[in-house]
Amino acid sequence: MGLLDFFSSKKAAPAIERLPSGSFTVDREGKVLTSTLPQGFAEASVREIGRTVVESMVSARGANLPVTELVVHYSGLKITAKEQRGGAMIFLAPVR
Amino acid sequence: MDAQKKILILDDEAQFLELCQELLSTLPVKPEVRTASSGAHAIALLEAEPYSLLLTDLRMPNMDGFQVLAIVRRRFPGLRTVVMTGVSDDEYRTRAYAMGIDLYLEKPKTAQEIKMFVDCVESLLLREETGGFRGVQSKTLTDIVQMESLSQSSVTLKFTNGPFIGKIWLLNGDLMDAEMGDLSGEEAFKKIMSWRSGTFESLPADPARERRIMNSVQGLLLDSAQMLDEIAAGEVPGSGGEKAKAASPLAELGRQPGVEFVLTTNIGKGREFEHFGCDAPDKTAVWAAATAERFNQLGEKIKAGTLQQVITTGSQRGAGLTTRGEKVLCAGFQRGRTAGQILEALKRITAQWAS
Repeated sequence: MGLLDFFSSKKAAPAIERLPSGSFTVDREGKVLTSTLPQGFAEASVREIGRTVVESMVSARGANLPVTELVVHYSGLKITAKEQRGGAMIFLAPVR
Repeated sequence: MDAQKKILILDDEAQFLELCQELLSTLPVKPEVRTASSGAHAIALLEAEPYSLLLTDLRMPNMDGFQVLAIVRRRFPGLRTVVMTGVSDDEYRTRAYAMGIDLYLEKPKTAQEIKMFVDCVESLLLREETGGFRGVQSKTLTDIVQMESLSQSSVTLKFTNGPFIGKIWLLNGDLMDAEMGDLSGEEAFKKIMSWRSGTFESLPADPARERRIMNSVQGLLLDSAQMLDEIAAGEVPGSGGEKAKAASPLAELGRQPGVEFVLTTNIGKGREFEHFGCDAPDKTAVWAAATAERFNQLGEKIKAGTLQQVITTGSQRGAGLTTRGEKVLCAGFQRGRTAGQILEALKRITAQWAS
């Protein structure tokens, strides 16, 4: 009985965050200007991606590696950023 | 009857002079030990009467040790000279040996170092009796070991090659043992013999040294000569020679088509790095270390999985960055390559790096 209860009990399943697909633009300060990303994807995460990308592009110039395109490969997500007047247009694509 | 040996010690530290005087006065040859606290005073004492040995510090006000050595070499060419300093810089050591000094010793700090210091000074004083020629000449390691062996010397040869120190023990011309880092015996001997440049010192023999090398000197020298030939042909990576440098692991990675440079560093610690062909390795290492750290943290925050590669393309060059544990590998590529081409090349380099 107890064992059956264990299998049949309905616990609140943890929500699985989907990795987003879409694009957004950021200015040279990393501020998000436009976005086509699904609303379910946390705004804080979008800002974090934008800020990290812009910081990396700026610091690359200091290392004699001026960047026009930056591609970051994660096991679950590919981030492609194209430089735009100091800011960037950033594309997110989950790896399938 | 032999005249009493005289030693002159030059140092600007009064306490050190006193300590040295006390130590050396107890030597079995009972030398007369004088002291001088300035270069000018030392030169005046040397001009006044003959000395067997001069021990000098390097860093001194007004006239430093190198200035004193230059004067001594010119005016008293037969005088044995020992530099005894707190400076462990290899550049100073090489410069001092190039000026014809007999020994470069660091100021002793432990009981063992004090004993070594006293033994070295005594050995030099005794060697004076045998006479002979002294000079400054570059010899290969093979020449040095061969000469000591043929003359059936009992000596400890200490070799310094950058940060590495190796010792070879000879007893009556027979090779007894060698030591270099964790290596000992024949393995250490061969490693030392692969060095192309550096300095050497003759230290007193150690008859109590356990024999760990059973092969003959000539046999081992032949093996080493063969190895040196292989190094010259660039077949032994990491041996320090020009061709061997080109064969270092990073150089191997840098030979991939289109690769401008290869650099390795640690995540978040760009100050420590190794590189091959990078123009501004310090800046690149800082960028690579910081970028790997940033994107690692971002990956954790947005749950994107493990960071695999970061690729950049730009007007000057492209770059690829990957991580393995705490290590970061960054490769620079000729401009005009697409991100896809850089990714494929980086994957090949990474596979080679990992192996």
